[in-house]
Amino acid sequence: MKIDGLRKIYAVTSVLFLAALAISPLKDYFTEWRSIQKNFNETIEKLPVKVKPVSVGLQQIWSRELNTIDRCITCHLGISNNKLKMGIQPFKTHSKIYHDIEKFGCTICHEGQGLATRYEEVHLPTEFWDQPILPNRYIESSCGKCHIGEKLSSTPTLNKGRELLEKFNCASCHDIPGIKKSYILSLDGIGSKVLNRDWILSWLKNPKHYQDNALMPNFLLTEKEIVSLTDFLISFKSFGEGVNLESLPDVYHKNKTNEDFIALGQTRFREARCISCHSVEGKGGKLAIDLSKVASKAKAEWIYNYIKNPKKFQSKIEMPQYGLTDKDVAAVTAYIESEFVDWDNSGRESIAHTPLPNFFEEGLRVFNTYNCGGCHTLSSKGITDNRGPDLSTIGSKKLYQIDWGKAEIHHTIFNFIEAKIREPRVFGESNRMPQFSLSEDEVTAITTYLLSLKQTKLPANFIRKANEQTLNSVQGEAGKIFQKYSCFKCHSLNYAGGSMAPDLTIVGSQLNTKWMKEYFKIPYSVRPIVEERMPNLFISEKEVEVLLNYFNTVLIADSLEIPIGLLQNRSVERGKSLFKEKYGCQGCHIIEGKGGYVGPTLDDAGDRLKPAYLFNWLMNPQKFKPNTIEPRTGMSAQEAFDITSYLLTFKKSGKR
Amino acid sequence: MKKNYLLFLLFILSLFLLEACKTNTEKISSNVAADSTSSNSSSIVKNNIWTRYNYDQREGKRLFEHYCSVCHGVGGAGDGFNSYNLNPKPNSFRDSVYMSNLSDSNLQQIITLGGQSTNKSTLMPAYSHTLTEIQIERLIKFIRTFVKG
Repeated sequence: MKIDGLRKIYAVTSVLFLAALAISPLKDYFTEWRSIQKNFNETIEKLPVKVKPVSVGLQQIWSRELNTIDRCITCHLGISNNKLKMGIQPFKTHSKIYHDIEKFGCTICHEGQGLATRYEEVHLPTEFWDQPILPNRYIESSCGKCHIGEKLSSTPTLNKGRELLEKFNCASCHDIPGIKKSYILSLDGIGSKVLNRDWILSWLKNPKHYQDNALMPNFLLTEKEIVSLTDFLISFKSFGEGVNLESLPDVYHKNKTNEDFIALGQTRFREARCISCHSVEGKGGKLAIDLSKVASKAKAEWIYNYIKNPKKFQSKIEMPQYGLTDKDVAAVTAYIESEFVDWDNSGRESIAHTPLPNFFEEGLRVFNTYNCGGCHTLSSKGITDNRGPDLSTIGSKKLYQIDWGKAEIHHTIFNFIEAKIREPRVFGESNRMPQFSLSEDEVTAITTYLLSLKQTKLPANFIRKANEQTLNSVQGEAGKIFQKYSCFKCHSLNYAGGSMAPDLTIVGSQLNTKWMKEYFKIPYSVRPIVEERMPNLFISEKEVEVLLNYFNTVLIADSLEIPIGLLQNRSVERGKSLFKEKYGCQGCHIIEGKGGYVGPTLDDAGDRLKPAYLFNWLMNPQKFKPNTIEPRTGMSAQEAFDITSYLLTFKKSGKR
Repeated sequence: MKKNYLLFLLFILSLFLLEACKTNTEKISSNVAADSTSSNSSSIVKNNIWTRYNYDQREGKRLFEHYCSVCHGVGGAGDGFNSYNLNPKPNSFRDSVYMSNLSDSNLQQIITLGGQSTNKSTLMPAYSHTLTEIQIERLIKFIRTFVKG
């Protein structure tokens, strides 16, 4: 039999078509997830525990509300099976989470292509999918998609990112939802404040040279920009309307080199606990500037005036206005002038300098270019708002919208944000964003927060918005005192405010008035291990009266009582044995001079604490301080009352 | 001639098949964790908490550092700053012999009901009213990493 040419071609093409048609079902048959499912069924047979085998087939979670279809569970077969806790991926049980996987699906948290079933498409960043699977270290960003503004205890990285963005005042240049502009410092009068222009030159060159923990980032300015900006700034000699420097008092001029006078200054410096916030040669607080070289930066006259009333120069400054006398302030100034000098550069005369004719225009241009006005106010004409990009939806930024420049990184949104924060100019020299010096953990934290800012609108019933905690300003005379001494820099009211010191919401119900009165005079650390103590603010007696009155009438708890039935049956002895033997409280607290260093010393508990508060605290410490490490013991009311009775016998005042 | 055609057809078919099978290559074993997606940034320290601990252990670590480390020490060696005030001193979680004698349910009992419940020191308080079961489970998972690591 002979087949002619045309038929041959027919035969060949028809066979080819047949084969081509077979590809599709074959491809499906040989997909990797099928073999993984088979592998799963084989693996579980070998396990000692009985696990139900799966019938082979594509599996998915369809979340109608979120409009997502996630096929991850096709391979991750053990996700909700408790018996596979020790299993290996992809068959391992998912860690216990607070959400129902069936309702939420996978990609709402992990991102990535929910529909994909090939390993590479699912797990690796692919070119055409803007939201690849999130590396674990950013996973908390997904919590922030729904939990807006909530400071959850299980999202420490996200919370830290939020804090850092506020600390570095990122909102002064960028719109970032949930981040408030935190401070604005006035530059008015800087020409009358600084000792010589060299200081401004070196500060602008790199703030870190003067101070390790400088908040101001390095703007990487050129020499020319630095010079014109310095000349521009130095031309501002006035502190604003009605604010003038008082000249130094005679007592200062007479005694400034007198050792006793300087020693007095040092004592006041220590009592006022300046190093709670300021550091001196690296030791001390991180809340304010380092003072080691401040005398070589600012004029003595300015230092004197500033300590006397910081809020006159910086209306929003958190430094308290201490109740020191003029003589005390002068002594502190003399102490600072004698100690806190940059000895390496002291006595060096600055070289005579004539500013360029157009220094003002040039300086103003630089000031505006880098949006200095975002963090600083300056009473000058021509200052414009020149903000950076809006970051409200940075987490969903499309990859093609990003100018990658010469940066050699894998093109994903998280790599972009991370690289930008680590080294802002890596994507091009012409970028304006300054260089911050951040640790890797800090970079991760900030990236996590920014990644949580997505464009997609999630259904309203998924969103949990935190009630904004705003500090209700205290009115009246007490309010003025709170303001003057910046109490809420360290203390909080209804958990809004500072976090360094105890919350004051119910302080009137917690502490005895007499004890507080003494404490204002000589503050000390209530906990043996904590070195930080409240500074001596030199609050006048009259002011203390006003404060205590306010504490005892307004800052009180509504219902702190000891059940009346208990009052009849009081036993100090029982309390002692419960305290020492049953609950082992001395493990953390000092009592009778012995015990642990974790909690407050209880040897003056009777002087310090009010009975009803002590009783209620023992019943449930977390009610008053959610983060306290004192465990709630679950003790009975009778036991709590006995321990209260025992502790109240400890009084220092009585023994004297 | 016929033989040649058949061979040619077979060749074409096998090509298609090969293509179809391509997706099936076994990769799972060599697969790397999702975290390595950003391996380009080599500056990231390999031994960070994200690679060292899983989710449960990380949560446990946070709880441990908050509630336990004052006595048991951040490194679990029983050398927290407050351990010097305790008698008896806390045991070291790094002691593999001591730890292997304690089952997870032992640990759970001690944390939940306090040292007293298993004739250990009363200075170890009970956490049943402070921590949830899940939290205690996570704590145990983290405590176990002191020996493995």
